[in-house]
Amino acid sequence: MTMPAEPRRYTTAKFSEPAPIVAFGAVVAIVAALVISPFFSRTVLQERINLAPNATATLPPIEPRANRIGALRVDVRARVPRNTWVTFEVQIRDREGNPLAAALKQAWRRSSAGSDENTRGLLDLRREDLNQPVQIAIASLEQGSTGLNLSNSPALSTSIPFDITVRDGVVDTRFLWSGFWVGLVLSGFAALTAVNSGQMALHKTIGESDVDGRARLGGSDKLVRAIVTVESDETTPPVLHAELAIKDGQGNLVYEAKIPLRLTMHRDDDGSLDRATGKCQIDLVLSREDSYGFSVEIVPDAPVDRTTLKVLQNVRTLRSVEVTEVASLA
Amino acid sequence: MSCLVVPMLSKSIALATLVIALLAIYSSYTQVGALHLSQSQQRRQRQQRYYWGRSGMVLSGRRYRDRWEPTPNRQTYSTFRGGGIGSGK
Repeated sequence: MTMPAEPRRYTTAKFSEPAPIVAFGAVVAIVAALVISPFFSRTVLQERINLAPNATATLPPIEPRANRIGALRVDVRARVPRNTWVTFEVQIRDREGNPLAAALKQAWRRSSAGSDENTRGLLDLRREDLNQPVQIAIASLEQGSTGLNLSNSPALSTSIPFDITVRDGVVDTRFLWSGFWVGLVLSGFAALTAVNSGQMALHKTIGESDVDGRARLGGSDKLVRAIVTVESDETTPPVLHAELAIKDGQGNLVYEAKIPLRLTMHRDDDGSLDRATGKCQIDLVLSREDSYGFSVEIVPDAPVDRTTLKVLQNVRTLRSVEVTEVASLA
Repeated sequence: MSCLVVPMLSKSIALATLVIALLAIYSSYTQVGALHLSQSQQRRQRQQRYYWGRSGMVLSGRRYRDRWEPTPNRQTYSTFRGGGIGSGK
C-alpha cells in the first residue's frame, strides 16, 4: 500500500461566501443613515398659542429652504387639561391665504390611568416646486371632557395652549427603522443559507464505533467537510478521538488523522454521568475528483453507542477556514 | 442541486437586503410619506399616493383642480361651526 502524500494545511478565504457580508453592510448603511439624520434638521419656528374653542391662529409665514433633504415638520402638542379632548386642524395656506392642505387630529388626556394621553400631532410637508412662503394655521374645532365630573369640568369653554414647533429638513426615520429590522432579519437568513450550503455526499449512522462509506466527490475548487458525531455511555473517558482514514478509488490511503472529539457531558438529576455526545469536523480539499472511501473509528470504542458520519461537499463558509489539502497520488 | 441553489439563495437575499436598504434611505431622506405641496397638479397627485400619516393625523381634504376641498366628514363635523379653512369666502 502506498503511503499517503503529506497533506498541506492552510487557511483560505476561497470558500467564503461574500453575500452575508454584503447584506450586513446594507444594514450598517441604514444605521449610518439613522445616526446622521438629525443633523439635517433645523428648528424654524417654536411658539405657544392659546386657542379658544372654535378659534383659529395663524403663524408667521415660513420661507421655503433650498435643501432637498427631508421635509417641513409641523409638530403640534395640545396642552389639554385632564379628562379633556380637543379636535384641532393644522392648515397650510399659500401667500394669498388659499388652503393648500389640512389635517385633523383628536388629542386627549385621561387622568385615570397614569399618563394616558395622546396629545401630539405631526404633519410632514414636502415642498416640491412651490417657491413661495407657506402659512401654518391651527384651528381648534371641538373640545369636550370625558371625566366623571362633567358638570364641574371647564373643558368646554376654556382656551387650550398649543405648543407648535416647525422644523425643516426632517428625515422620515420610519422607513429607516422598517428597513433596519427587515434588513437585519434578511442578513441573518443570508448568513444561515450560506452556512448551511453544501450537498450531502455521505450520511451514515451506526450503533457502534466504526462507520464507513464511499462517495464520489472532490476537486480542487470544492470544499469537503467531514462531520463525525458520537454518542457515548456513562463509562465515557474525558477524551475520545476519531480516527479518520480516506482511501481513493484504487484503495490507496490518501489521508489519515486522529481528531479529538469535543464532548458534552449529560448528567442525571443526582449529578452522575448519564451519557456524553461528541462532535468533530474537518474541512478538506481533495484535489482530484474521485470515488473516496471514508472510514471512522472511535477510540476507545467500548463506551460508544452510536456514531454518525456526514460528508458534505461544495460547502461555503462565512469567514476564511483552515483546510487540509490532500493531493492525489496519480 | 443544493450546491448551486443555496449560494444563489444567499446571494439573492443579500441583493434583496441591498435594494431594501437603498429604498429605505431614499424614502426617508426624500420624505416620500410626507404631504407634497407642489404647483404641478399631476406631480402632486402622483406623490400623494404615498402619504403616510403620523400620530393619528388624518388629512381633512384633498386637492381637486388646484383647490383644497375639505372632505365631507370635515364639513359635517358634528358641531362644526365654520371656523375652518375657506370660511367667509
